[in-house]
Amino acid sequence: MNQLPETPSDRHAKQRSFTLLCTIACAVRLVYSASVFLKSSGTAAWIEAGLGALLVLPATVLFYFSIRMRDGIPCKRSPALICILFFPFFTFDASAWIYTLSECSSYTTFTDTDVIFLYLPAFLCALLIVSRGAYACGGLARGTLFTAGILLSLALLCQISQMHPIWLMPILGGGAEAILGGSIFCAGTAALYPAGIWLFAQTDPAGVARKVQAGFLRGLLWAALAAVLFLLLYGMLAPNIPDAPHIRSFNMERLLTGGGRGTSVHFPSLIGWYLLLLLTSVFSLFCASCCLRLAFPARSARFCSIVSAIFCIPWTPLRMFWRKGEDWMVFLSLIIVSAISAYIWICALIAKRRKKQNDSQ
Amino acid sequence: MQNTSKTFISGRLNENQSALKQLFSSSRNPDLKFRSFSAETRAAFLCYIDGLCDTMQIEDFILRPAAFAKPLPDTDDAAESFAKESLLVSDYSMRFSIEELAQDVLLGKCVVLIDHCTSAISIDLRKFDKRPVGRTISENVVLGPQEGFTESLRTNLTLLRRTLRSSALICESVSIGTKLPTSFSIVYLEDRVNAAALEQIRERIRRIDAEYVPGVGTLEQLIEDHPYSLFPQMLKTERPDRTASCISEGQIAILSDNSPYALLAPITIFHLLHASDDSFMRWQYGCFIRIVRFLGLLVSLYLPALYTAISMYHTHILPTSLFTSIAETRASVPFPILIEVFIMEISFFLINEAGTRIPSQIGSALGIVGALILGQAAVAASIISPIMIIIVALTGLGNYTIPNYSTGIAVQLLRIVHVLSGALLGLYGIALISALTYAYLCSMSSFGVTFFSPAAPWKPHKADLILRLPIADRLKKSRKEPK
Repeated sequence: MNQLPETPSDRHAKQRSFTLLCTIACAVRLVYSASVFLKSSGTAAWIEAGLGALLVLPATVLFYFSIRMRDGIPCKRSPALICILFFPFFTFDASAWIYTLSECSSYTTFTDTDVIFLYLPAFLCALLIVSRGAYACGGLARGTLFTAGILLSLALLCQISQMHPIWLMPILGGGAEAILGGSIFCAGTAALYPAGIWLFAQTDPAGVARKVQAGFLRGLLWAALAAVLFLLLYGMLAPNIPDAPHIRSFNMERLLTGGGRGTSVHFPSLIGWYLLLLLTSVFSLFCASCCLRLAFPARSARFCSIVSAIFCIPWTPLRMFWRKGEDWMVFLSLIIVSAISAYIWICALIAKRRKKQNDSQ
Repeated sequence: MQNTSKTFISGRLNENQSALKQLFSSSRNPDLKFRSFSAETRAAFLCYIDGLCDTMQIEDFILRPAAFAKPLPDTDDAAESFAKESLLVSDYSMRFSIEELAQDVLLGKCVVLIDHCTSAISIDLRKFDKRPVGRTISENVVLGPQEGFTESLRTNLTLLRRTLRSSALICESVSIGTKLPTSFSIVYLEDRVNAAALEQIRERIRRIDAEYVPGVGTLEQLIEDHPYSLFPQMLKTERPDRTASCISEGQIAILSDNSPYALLAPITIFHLLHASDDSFMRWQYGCFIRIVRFLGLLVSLYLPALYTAISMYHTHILPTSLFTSIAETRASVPFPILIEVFIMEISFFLINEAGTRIPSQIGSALGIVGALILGQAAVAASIISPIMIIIVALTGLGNYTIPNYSTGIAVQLLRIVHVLSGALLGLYGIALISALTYAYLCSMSSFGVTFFSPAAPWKPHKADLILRLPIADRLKKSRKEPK
């Protein structure tokens, strides 16, 4: 059936949903990077997440100003090239987060199953969601915010009696050096947030650019706040109770309470994390698909989604076997995104001056 | 669309009569009546189908006045002047071809042909046996109007006109079907309608090239946006009050002959989960009942899947006492959990379907079969565990709280998918399938309106999706909103 054309209100709603998707993905990246990938920092993870967000701020601000200055007029030549530059980072990122999701399920439940068998369903699921378009991804973001928000809040509330603020001390965790390294890692994983929003703004410059301004900086702020708050609360708890059913402290807890405590936390937090990790991978895959659409406008959105997913596959072994490689990719993405944001800002500045000169003539 | 070649009415009465008789195979159709009479000095005849027309009215308002008809002029419009000046009927129209006449006869009208006239009079004197307006069957409410639509389009339109007393109410008449046309009506309020959706509906109806569209059920499948989706994208309701309420909010209703339902579009998923008495009750009760209904939906969709996943993979989630209790009850059951779930689910589907088809006189037997044989005996025979009975019973109850029948079936089908994913990948599988289903629903649309709007993508809206605000507050808010 032929569809009705999109109205401006639809486009704004789509933009809002996408900003939400980016914001949630950014918050999950900050939390996961600080608390799971960097266990060395211990209870100082919240500082790493906050600092990480701060390190992404310049790139975000530069993208923000470049969109503002262009006032809805897209760059003429550079987007295709920039999109091709961004594309490998997004596909790598999607692959890495899908792998993380499958690893998470393997860690919590399917300890005897090969991760690759858990990877495939998540990969297909992410691909199918992305191929349904922006409404599907944005809608999933809103649904996940609601569901995972309730479930994780429930999990934290169930453990409120076991929270010990004193456990946040000493706040420096693994030391200043570890925190700085961790912050850079967090910033690297979160760097694709401004890149994603900029990309989406390019897909519909006239309709979205003006509206995107409001949500751009606020999104990063909310993501950082949510991540820091969650990590603060999480840091006050005994480690890993909700995530790992096979650890000794969990089983002891279960035995002593007749299965009544700890266990109740496991269910909501598990579902919440599965949803959030899936959403994060959907964000990356969707952005990769946006990159292809901007670089090759003649191709359909579905085709771009499938090609992006195919390009994710070669990255999987890197994430599986060479952890150091992932660290490098994350670091590189921070540098590339920051450099591109500066380049785009300079281009926008020059364009604005030229426009001013032309107007005055 | 319909065949456009026409045979015009000739001035010779016999020719016209033969043409009509031939068209209807009158020798084999005794219910087709031809009655000759005189209109002033000219020969005339009328034709109608017995049982569709009121014969008393034919006698009183056509035949009796014809005996005292005024002299007819020798012009082409003699038939019209006969209708105007001699007949005692208000609803008539002039026809110029045999095909138009045949169409009118099939609709139940009475047609009058006069010698030397190239036009005929089609008079609406329809009267046939039909089901009276009664209580609704599939959309019962405790509070609120109890009237339901009937199979007569005219009666249904009257019910709507009685509820929505506005001159802006438009009832467009459409005939669909290339060989066997059926009468449909597109109803909307001109000053409130979603114009883009209305145009889209008209366009899709225009494109239908089916020979026969028996009613709104078939029409829905011919014009919906996503024919492969599990969820309906148009709302079928048998309640005039609900139809009127939706029309007043800018939606479009399609009614047809032979269907005691109205088809409403565009809709969102929230329309499928709301019941018509929600707004009839005080807001506190409405809120509570809606929350119960949403819980019912969640239970119906997830309970068997969660039971399967947790029992198979995540036993550590259960408190130890509950876990041992489940293990004890399952000790003598020979089947794996998945098979057990499927045995009970299929049994429930069978009872459900049998309950719909079974004659009411032997309906009580179904209760005995369901409760005793499938419940007690199956547990006694250790085919299923008692906890499975509880789960299937709760699931069934949850499913019955869904107010829309089609949505209920969609949820049943999705439940099977969830159970399978839970059995295969535990909570991980359920989370993946849920996310996929939800994303798919968010990407769907019904005539340009996204299926989860205004929640996803989020748009400013009144708080009437899951909870209800007091009506006074809603009115206050809507007054404050800029127009």
